[in-house]
Amino acid sequence: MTDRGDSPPSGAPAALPATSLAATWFGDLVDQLEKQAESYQTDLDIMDPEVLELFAEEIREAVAGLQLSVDQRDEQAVRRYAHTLQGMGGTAGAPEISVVGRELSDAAKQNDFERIATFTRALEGWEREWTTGEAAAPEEKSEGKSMPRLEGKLLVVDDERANRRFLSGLLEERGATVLLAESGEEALDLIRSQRPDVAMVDVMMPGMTGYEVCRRVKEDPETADTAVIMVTAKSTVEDIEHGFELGAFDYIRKPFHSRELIARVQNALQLKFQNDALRQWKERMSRELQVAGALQSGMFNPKPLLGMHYDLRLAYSPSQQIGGDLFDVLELQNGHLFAYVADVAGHGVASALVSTLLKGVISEVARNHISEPLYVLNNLIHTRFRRLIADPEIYATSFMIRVDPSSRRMDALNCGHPLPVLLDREGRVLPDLIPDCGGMPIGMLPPELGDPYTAEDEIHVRLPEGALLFIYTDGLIEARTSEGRECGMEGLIEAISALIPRQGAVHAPEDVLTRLRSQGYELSADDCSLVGLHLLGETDLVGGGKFPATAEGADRNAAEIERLLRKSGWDEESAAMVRLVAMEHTMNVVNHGGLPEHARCLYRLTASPSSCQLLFRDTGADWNAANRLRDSARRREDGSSECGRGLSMIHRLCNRVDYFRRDNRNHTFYVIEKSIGHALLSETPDAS
Amino acid sequence: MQSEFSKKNTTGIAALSGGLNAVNVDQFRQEFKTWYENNPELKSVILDFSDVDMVDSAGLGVLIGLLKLVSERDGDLKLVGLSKRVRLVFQITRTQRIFTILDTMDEALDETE
Repeated sequence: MTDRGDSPPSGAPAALPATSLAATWFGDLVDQLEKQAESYQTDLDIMDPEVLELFAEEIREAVAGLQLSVDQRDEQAVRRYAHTLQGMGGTAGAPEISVVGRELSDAAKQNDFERIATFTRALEGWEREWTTGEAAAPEEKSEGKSMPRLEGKLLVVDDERANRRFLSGLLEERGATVLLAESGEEALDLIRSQRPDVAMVDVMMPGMTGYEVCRRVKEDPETADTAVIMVTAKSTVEDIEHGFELGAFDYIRKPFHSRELIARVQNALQLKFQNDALRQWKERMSRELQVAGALQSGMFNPKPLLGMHYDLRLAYSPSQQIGGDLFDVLELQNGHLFAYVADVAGHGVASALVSTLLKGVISEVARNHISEPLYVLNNLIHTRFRRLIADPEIYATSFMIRVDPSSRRMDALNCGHPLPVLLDREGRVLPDLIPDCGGMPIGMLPPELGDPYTAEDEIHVRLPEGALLFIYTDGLIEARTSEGRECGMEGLIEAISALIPRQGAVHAPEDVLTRLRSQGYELSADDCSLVGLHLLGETDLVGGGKFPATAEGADRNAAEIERLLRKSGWDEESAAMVRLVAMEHTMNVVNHGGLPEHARCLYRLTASPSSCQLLFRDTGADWNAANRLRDSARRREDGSSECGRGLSMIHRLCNRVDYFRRDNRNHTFYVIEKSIGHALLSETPDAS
Repeated sequence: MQSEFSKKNTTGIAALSGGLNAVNVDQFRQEFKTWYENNPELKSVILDFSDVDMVDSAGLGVLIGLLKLVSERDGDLKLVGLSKRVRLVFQITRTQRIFTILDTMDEALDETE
């Protein structure tokens, strides 16, 4: 340490570390440093050799430039270098360099080139010390802590080149990929195009400030997940608050320490990667739920079951994409109807899986034990359920019915489920007909306690003609409005009975749900299922039976329908229109159903005060779809397509046409107004 | 379905009874064609629907076919004696413009004179 310049060390305070180079050089400056920093620390002592080399390069450049400026007595140039050194000191965590920068600046203002030269030589010597390794040995530099690796893409935004170089060197050395930007505009471009994980933005820049950069990054949804770390010498609480308000992730005050900076950047990277992983997982989950939901919906057949003596219709509204409700309706081989609704406790994926499982169990048991009592079936279901799912907290409530539609005798079993709604054909509640007895939910009783259900739990009742029975899940009656009013049994009964006069014999659960929604009940809070059974007695049937699927059969059936309606009091023209509908329908089946010679169709005619309802069932090909194809093909060849004409006649005459295919049978359900003839006759004739 | 064919000068007259529908359209079409071809002097044709209780889409189809046949000889096809219920079929299919629909046989005959 010889011949270093004009200012020998003088009275360095004992508090300073022995290796402090500032103490070696600028004795009186140490006082200044002490005044400025509460605890003077420099990172130069602990900097990695590679980073130190970078830093030294900058110093070398500054030294060369300062020497030239002194020679040329270029005060402006000196001030530029001074400014750079001040910034570098802050960035590198070496306050002594900042102080030198300030001194140079003062000296330049006073045109004191002597002093400038002194400091320049000092810097030069300083730099030589580092690069010749005369500073503390590398092992001593290390504090025994290794600095963490940084894996990610970073952006450094600073108008000072030296700062950019220093920061990028520091960070790249730790393994990061570093992009550089000189200005706010350049930073925004790079953020949009390269999508760095973390951006370190100097606040004090000419033009667009770091605050503005932060604000814009956070406002754009494309770039908003970039973590922005504000870097600045400004340090009032308001400044820091301002940064956070704009969405900054963190805030680093200069001068800062390399370790601190790296730790904060690592923090930001870790958090960003966690958020990215979470977002991807959420997206994947959502996609998978959608697929699961579609699969589950596919398993629920919402199509009605219509027969000679019954209408069975369903509606289902799941709360999320998948649900825990299940229901099914089957026509058993002996012509009896089997139907149930069930509700698996809980929501979400697990409940949906359980409900799918339970549905399989119930279907199998029901089909294989057609004539056995319902309590036997449910004991079997319970046992199999428990075997598959051992968790006693997973159970399902259910209401199961088996009905002989011609005698209207019903067996039912209630397993912890809400009571059904039973109305007569005018919509009046029939109390006391269905007793409130039953057993506990399926899957609840521990196996060592035996079978949960006995014969005493069963319900046996003969339903009256024209009865309307609704079974449902509790999501429906527990639905609330935003004011907190609960639907309850009353709300459900009101909705059902309100629809009866309007629709005649069409009691569609789907319409009930629509009505409840329109009254403000939030059905989406839970799964809602509604199954409605309408039992037709002899007095409800105007006519019904089977007839040959031939042109003659169609003609005779249509004529018979007309005769029956006339007998019920229908006027000539209206009855004739219904005959036409029947004829056109059956001829469609005959022409396009692909039925064999001896095939028969089933028809059912019911009437209410304002309309009649005509049901046809056939076992032919899906003629509706085939028709449309043939129709559009034929229309091209010849403008007068017969097939299309028949269909358009039907649609012109009917208030409602339901077509669906279930269990390999075509069902078509027509509703025709009693006043159709009158309405048509009073239409003003077309002016040709 | 029974049809009775007659003529007045160059106008043919066919009186139908029963229904004109999918059951009998083929038979009726054949009978009509035979009669019309065997009487080449006939141009216009009057169809008497007084005794017809039903016409369906197949029936309309055959009538359109007859219309074509008759117009080949520059003749008209007139329909008379339609009951309200049968008229409605033309109304709902908007085919009443294609055919000449008149109330009585006399009207139809007057027109063709």
